[in-house]
Amino acid sequence: MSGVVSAPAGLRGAGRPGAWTWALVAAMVAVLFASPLIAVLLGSFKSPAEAARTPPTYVPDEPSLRNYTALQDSSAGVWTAIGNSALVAAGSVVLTVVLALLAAYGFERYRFRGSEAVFVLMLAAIMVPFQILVSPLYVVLNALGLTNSLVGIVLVITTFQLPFSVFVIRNSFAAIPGELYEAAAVDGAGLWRTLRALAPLLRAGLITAALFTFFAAWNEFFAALILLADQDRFTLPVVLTTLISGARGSVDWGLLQSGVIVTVLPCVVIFIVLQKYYVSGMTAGAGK
Amino acid sequence: MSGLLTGGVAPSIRRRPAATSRRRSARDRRTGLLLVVPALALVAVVFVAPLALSVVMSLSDWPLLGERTFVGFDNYTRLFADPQARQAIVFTLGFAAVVTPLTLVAGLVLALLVQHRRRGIGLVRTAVFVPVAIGFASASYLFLALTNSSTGVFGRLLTDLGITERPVDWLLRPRLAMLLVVLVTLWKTVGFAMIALMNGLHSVGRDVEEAARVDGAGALRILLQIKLPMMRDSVAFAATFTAIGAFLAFDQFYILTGGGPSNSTITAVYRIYNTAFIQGQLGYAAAMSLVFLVFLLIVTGAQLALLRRGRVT
Repeated sequence: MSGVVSAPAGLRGAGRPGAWTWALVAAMVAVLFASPLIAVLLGSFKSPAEAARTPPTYVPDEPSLRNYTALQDSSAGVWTAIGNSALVAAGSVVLTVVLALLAAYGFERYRFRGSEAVFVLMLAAIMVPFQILVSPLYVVLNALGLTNSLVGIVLVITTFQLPFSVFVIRNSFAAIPGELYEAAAVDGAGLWRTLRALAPLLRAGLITAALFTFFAAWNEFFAALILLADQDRFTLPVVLTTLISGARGSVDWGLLQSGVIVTVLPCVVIFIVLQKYYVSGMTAGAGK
Repeated sequence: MSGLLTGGVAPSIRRRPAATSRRRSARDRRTGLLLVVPALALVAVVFVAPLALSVVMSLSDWPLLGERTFVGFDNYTRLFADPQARQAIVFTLGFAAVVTPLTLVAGLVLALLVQHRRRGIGLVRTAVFVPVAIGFASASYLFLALTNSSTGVFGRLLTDLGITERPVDWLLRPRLAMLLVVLVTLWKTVGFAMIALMNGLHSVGRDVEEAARVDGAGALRILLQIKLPMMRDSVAFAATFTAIGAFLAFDQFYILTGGGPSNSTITAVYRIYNTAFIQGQLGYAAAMSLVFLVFLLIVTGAQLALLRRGRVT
């Protein structure tokens, strides 16, 4: 590893660009990727009048929070949508993690007849994407009274996140030494107490499952677009379509930009805090 | 984001040695089943039942509202003669054929850039990866706000740099609309390929590289002839993931182009959506979906087979 910057660049072999060249290129790449988000963040602080100006300003002349306070106007519905999105995300994360934890424990610890076949079939479900099942799914959920319902969205997201979640949590169980289970069994601890005792060792798997489920739930667009009919049930990604549809000429660009920032911000913050779990989840997915 | 996990390769779990060899009582087996049943019940209702129902629906005239009738294979014969369906498939394949190699090449270049630890490396990796964590819908709204020809700063930037005379309306011309969607897709997904390929680069031992260098191989040759073949698992993973994501593209087209201009950017999933929920023909949409699923399974299956062969040799 050419680790620290103080290591003399170029000594470790020809062909490796010097530290300054690298820093310059890397900085340009970082700016290139961050600039769309930064530009919209800046745009969200324009006043509604400035946000509608042609040609646009790069940086707000007079920064204003009006686009953010306007989110609360009930006609736009963004405020309600924030609540709906939070409910869907929280519901999906809790339900997915609980169901996946129980199932992973069952698969790993109590092998029953056919359990491996069931496990493999469950993983195979990953290969059938949600988008393929939209029409029958709509019919099934409609029959259950779960269309136009946040509960319906939670069930759909949970179902499609379960295979991956069971897989990563089962991997966490598999890494626990057998003696720990034996010790728990000798203690006569019940299921609940055993799981609680093992929880610290399952941390990585649980956080990874929760993280992927959060992103899936918070960002889900297609399922929400199809299953939700009334504006007071809309989640954030869907409610933003109402801001741009209709007359394309009369879009409230300031409101759209503050709405996008509110949608994006939790993902960015949570990702930055927990990114190592995201990367480990990706590695698990790659079958390492 | 639902596309993120849909293309995953089902990996094999590491087996724990026979610590559990003591005989299981019937009670234990029942406990195991009870633990698994809640998850299975949900999967049965929300996954297995719709999958089975889609076969029935594909053989029926099944309107969104009203009477259903069994029509045999009518939907399938109609599908294979449907110019709109063919157009959607051709467009989707073209989109995937553009996006997948672009993403892999850009991802590899970025992976090479950020593979070694240096000061500030975390910042660069995070900047490239953050778009992956936000939704495709958010990314699309973001670029809609940036690129619209009246208030978007991207148009002003191109004008100020002298690249265009005045802000361009990206969504009025099919090629520009496509270019915009490709750019958004690349920005949103290339971080994933970068991390996957970076993991691959890290998996190639340093001694291998040193040995090749001693033999006088140049950096490019080491990359193309030694490293890439050795990290084929990572390449295959990134390729499958990117391709499946492109095959299933919907959000960015729905929000940015609305399928336009003049229906030039309608993907397979978009066509399924229109058929089911705009035209109300759920049965026909189910037939489209099943045919498309077979295609996706063939692609994923071919990828798995390639991976397995790579492991043996």
